[in-house]
Amino acid sequence: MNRGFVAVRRLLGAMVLVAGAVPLAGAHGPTRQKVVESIDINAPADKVWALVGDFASGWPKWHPAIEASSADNGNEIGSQRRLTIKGGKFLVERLEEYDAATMTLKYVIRSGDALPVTNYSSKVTVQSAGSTTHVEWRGAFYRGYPNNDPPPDQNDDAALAAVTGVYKTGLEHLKAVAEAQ
Amino acid sequence: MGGAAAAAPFAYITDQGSDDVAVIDLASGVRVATLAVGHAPVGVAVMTHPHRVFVTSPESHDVQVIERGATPQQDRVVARVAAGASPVGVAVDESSGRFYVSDMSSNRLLAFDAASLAAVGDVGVGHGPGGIAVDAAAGRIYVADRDDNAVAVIDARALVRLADLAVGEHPFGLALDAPHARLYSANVYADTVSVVDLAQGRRLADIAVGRAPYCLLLNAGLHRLYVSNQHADSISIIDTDAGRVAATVPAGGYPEGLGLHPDGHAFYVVNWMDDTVGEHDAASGRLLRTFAGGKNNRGLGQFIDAN
Repeated sequence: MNRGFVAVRRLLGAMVLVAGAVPLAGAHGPTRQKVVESIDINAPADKVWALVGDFASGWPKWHPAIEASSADNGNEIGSQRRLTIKGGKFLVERLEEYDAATMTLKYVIRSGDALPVTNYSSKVTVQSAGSTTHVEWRGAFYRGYPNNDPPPDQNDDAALAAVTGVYKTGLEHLKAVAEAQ
Repeated sequence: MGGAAAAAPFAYITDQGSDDVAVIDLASGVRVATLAVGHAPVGVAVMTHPHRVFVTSPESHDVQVIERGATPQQDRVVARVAAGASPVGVAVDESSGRFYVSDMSSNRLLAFDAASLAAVGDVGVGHGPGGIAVDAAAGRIYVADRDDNAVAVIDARALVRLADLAVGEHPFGLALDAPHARLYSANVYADTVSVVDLAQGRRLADIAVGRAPYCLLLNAGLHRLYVSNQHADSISIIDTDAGRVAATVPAGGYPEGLGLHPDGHAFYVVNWMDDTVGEHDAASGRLLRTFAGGKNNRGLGQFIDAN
């Protein structure tokens, strides 16, 4: 591979960074990643679901990275919420499944520049364990850069680290907020 | 692992997260062997003559060749064959003694001799080629061109692209019903399965299935087509005579690869999120058993060895 070719690819990589939002659907890298995080909360499940289950506008109450949330159709299937993320970033997410009886919801990212991922889908499950509650947050996604030789901030490790951070930080704060109520 | 000797059939499951293939005895559901392969393996295809299993690794840009032994414990990875930039799909043609690989980033279909492993040619297809279906009798290879919303039709002997068949959005998995001249595509972004009439060379219908359909498996004996719906965690069972969904049944998390037991009584679902393989009743789709699988297991292709 000659140096000129490598230089062009680095330039293209830099251009993607400068452009901001990575393509969130369409071409993607070869290896899908998954993250599964969970936490146990000393609060009853209905209190936790009141926080998690309000997909449309509830998450800023407990996730420190989310500054604002508004949705076009509440917690109905197909509702799209726009999240304002700390640092001037955003995410638009669509609610795909919602079951208040089993306290489960699934959503996908439709657009936004807050995470170095593509084709991202996620599921949050709230389970009662008597007086305590078990919450699991899992996601599946590809790295931000779809082709071979990704730049370091858009490779598989970067995607994994970013999503893991979102889940771990979120669940820890969810626990703190729910237990303080 | 038990002391009793394992017997066929076996499932060869690609574990994208642990760089290996898990071999599962389908009678007991127990893993009887683990074979280290290339980085992040995805596609798999079992061949009877020669008795081999081919595995694609897009991240290491090659195909691993597993030589089948008398039992899986005697299997060995005997070769790595360079296969373009991002080999994903792999399918065999027993009658011509070849295997084919779709290279998702160079947009080519590569052909190899399955015995000598020599590259025998390649042909340009559309953008983002993934799933492959081989019609050995007619000498045709079908390739799902994901980013073109089309299926490329290849003359297998000449390795020439003959035509493109329009299907739904973002097709990945394919299934061929050669006796009825039907081809099916799983359209990941449209949540549909396209039905193509191969004699007329055109799409007849799109059947609505679950969210993010990925792989297809034809059960010719029961006139059923199984569809793995990744985001819905379910399997749609299509009645191929009626051209509609007869049932939708729960699967594990992110169902992907599908395989049919040689005696037709059950089909197997590789659940990528759960790292499990589900055994389902072929007629009703009801889950019968769940086997432990491997890390980020995919099983994309014909992964069941009847021998």
